[in-house]
Amino acid sequence: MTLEQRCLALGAIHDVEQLQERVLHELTELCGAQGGALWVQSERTGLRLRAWKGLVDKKTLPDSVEPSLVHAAPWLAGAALLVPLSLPSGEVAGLVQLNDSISGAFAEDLLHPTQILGQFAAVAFKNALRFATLQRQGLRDTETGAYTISYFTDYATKEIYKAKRYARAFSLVTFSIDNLQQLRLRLGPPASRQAQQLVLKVIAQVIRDADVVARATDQEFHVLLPETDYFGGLMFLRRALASVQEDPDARALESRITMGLTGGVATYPRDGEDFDELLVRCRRRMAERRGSLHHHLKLDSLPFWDEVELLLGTNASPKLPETQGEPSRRGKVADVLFDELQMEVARDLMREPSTRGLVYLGTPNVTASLPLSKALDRAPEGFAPHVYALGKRLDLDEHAAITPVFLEGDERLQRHEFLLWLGDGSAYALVQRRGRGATWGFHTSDPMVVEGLVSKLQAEYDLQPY
Amino acid sequence: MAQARKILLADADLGSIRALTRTLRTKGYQVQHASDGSKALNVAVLRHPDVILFDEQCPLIDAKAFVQILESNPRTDDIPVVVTTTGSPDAHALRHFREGVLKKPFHVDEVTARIDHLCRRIEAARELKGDARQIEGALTQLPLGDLLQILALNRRTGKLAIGSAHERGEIHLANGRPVNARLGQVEGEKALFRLVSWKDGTFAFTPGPAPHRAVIDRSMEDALLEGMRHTDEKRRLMETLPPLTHQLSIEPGASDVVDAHPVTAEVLRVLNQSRRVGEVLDLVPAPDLEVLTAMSTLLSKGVVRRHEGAPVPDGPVLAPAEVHALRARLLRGRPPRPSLEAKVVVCGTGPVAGRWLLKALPGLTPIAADPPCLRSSFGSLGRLDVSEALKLDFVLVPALEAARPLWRPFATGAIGALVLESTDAVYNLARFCGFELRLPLVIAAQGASGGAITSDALPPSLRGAPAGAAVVSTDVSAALRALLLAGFRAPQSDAPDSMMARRT
Repeated sequence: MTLEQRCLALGAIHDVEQLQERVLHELTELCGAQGGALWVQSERTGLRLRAWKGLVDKKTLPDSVEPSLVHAAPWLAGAALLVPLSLPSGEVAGLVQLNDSISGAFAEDLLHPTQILGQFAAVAFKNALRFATLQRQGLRDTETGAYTISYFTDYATKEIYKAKRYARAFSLVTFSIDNLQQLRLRLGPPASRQAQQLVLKVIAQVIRDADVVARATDQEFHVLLPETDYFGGLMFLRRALASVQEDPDARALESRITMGLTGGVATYPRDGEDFDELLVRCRRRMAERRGSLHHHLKLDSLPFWDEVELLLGTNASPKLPETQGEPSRRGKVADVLFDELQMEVARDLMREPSTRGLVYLGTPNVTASLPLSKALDRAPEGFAPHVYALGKRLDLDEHAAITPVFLEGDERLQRHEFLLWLGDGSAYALVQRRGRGATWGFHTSDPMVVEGLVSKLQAEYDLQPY
Repeated sequence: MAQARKILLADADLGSIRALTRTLRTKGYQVQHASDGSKALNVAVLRHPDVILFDEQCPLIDAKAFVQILESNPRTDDIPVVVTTTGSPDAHALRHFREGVLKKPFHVDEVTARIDHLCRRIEAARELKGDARQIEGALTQLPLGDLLQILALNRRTGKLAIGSAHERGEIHLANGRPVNARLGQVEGEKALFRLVSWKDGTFAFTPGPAPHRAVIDRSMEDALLEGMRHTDEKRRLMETLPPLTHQLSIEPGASDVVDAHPVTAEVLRVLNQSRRVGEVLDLVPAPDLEVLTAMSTLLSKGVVRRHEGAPVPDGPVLAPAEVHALRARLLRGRPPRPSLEAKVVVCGTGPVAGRWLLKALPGLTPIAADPPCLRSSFGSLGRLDVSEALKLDFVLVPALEAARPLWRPFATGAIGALVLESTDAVYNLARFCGFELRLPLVIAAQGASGGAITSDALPPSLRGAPAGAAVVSTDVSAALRALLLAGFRAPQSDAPDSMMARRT
């Protein structure tokens, strides 16, 4: 491929992400580099690392580069060749670092062609950014201001490619206004439009700049959260649903007819490797939430301990209803289960110490001899999950991985034990009451029930949401 | 010498070549002198000297133009021109002057030796010109570089066979251009660049038709210059690399390489098993210098490691490259870290499956002297160090209906599920792992489960599991290996069309 063909090829690309990789590809190929990295100028953050390939140690690449350090023309720095992407005006649009020439060292005669390619790349970036701005403005839904589904699908497909290439995660969150049809029939189309706009307004308030919201159908909305793990997606969903509940306009509308807002999260790559798979998983999780025990037992309005009592029931309580969601069971519990669970949850957290999660352990006495405490003694630096132990102070004042929450004189905690766990991709709760001779318990992997218990526990004892 | 050799010295500064003229005449050469480029051109056309020494400072015609004019004239295109200069010859200039550049002041003996060499070569070329016979000789008498230049100058077509005590190679020429070369299993430029470094051996040129397919696309001059550069650089690089007999293997804990250079990617592919440096050099089709550079970079970045002596022993169940591939898959979407701990779900009960696994799987260390899960059928059983970079925990999940809420939380994120019993409850759990969590399933049958599963057939309820389900009946290590291989061979979708379109 001639230099001219390489330059022309760059000019023909209007997609910024695609252009980033193509620029890197052309320059590494032209120079026989075994590795390369690209920093691109962004409006607010200066030159930011956007792409890399081949033999580069990601940890050694700075996230940003000070534009004033960039030379006007390509230059050799040790074993690396640095190519500025400069516009004719002198403005720096980006910087490419090429390293480890396959022929041993980068020759001086590469400086000229890389300068030309760098200049073309700079112009191409400028054009691609303008094109992206136009695209963002043109591909919005006029009623709600959200992106159209065709733009969203295209964006998600590219995000999947990027996540695959750079071994990253991202989450897809779907929201559905389940009662939109009834709302339209009873209150008319303006109210239906208002419900859509309300939900989108609230979502827009809780998303980050990099997140993308789209309207899929009248009642369904998608949100793409780049570089977000499942737990991050779940926290976003909780925050968004809570914000809708707290919004005065939404409350006013809900007082007339319930909107039935439901959400579901799916994360790449754990839940699926393409957009359709992720969407199916999201919709399935929404269906599980609709069929959750939380709705069947109308647990929304109950405070934490009332819900615990209801869930535990007694020997005489009716059987738990069969639901379509994740299973829940109650009955006699082996005495060792609570200890075994603590050990196993701790091992799971220690296997993935950088993965976020939330664990609440409720026990009569917060002591250093708790299996969870012993198992997390060797938690590494940067241990990400938040683990709380609630109960009467005994001999555990502080712990590297556990936050003790001392609740003196709370009789309910003297009779009950619980373990609530929101993990990466699953949820689990065990609540149990120790009696004479037998322990009676309830346990579930129904995420809505677990999230409900977590939220109510946080409200009961003034604990932070996350 | 039948006829006196004629040397043309083109130099405006007579003083600087006086000593050289005297020495050459003493040795029997006829020496002519031209004080500028134009006169030198006249002499060259009219007297056809054997060798021309052309000074860069010659007025009227510069050295590059002088060489081009001679090369474009069939009467003079075979006259070797050595350019003399007072400056430092750069690589760019050397490419134009195929006979090289002599820096002034020069030692008279060195210059006369160079002229002697060129004259011998030109005489050999004249002997070859128009000759359809096979030519044979020894490389000690006529170095390979010179022989190839002669064949190129005479635009010969045929095969040049070269032999040494241990190896035989061949270079195919078409109109004086190298179009292919072979040395053992190695072909193309890789073979040509290896051959041009040969100093000893015999050669035989046989005229014949050119091969149908040209593998090399370079002029002879370019190929020789590049070949010599490769030889020099290769020698320098070999000093820093492990000896050819040392073993290389992929570092299991190394990060995955995104979109590697084709040569680097090929080296990594070849290293899917531990290999000697020499083997890698032979197996990767790229020229040796590029392969060595890639190896050097991979070693310096810790992606590949070296071992002396015997091949790197494989881990208890996986080879280093397999561990690397499995880690890469497990780390997708997660921050990289040197040591990775993963889990395998054991579908079975503690008293049966747990005890069997502890007894039968070599290297499995129980988490405690008497793991509680052997009684309760719930929890971690033991840990297996697959390598320094990957450790596997075996976790029993109870299959009982009452324990169903434990399935998803404690099986999520596992590499796969190993089925060690054949009860309905265990198969229900396995089905959940296979279909709901999309984990690969391996059913350890016969000896692999200590006889707990007697049928070699895949249970109907487990057929069609998205990530695959298989029955392994040899031993439990083989069953685990099958499970782990399924873990990293799960299909991956390609890049979106819009992004692939640019890969021309």
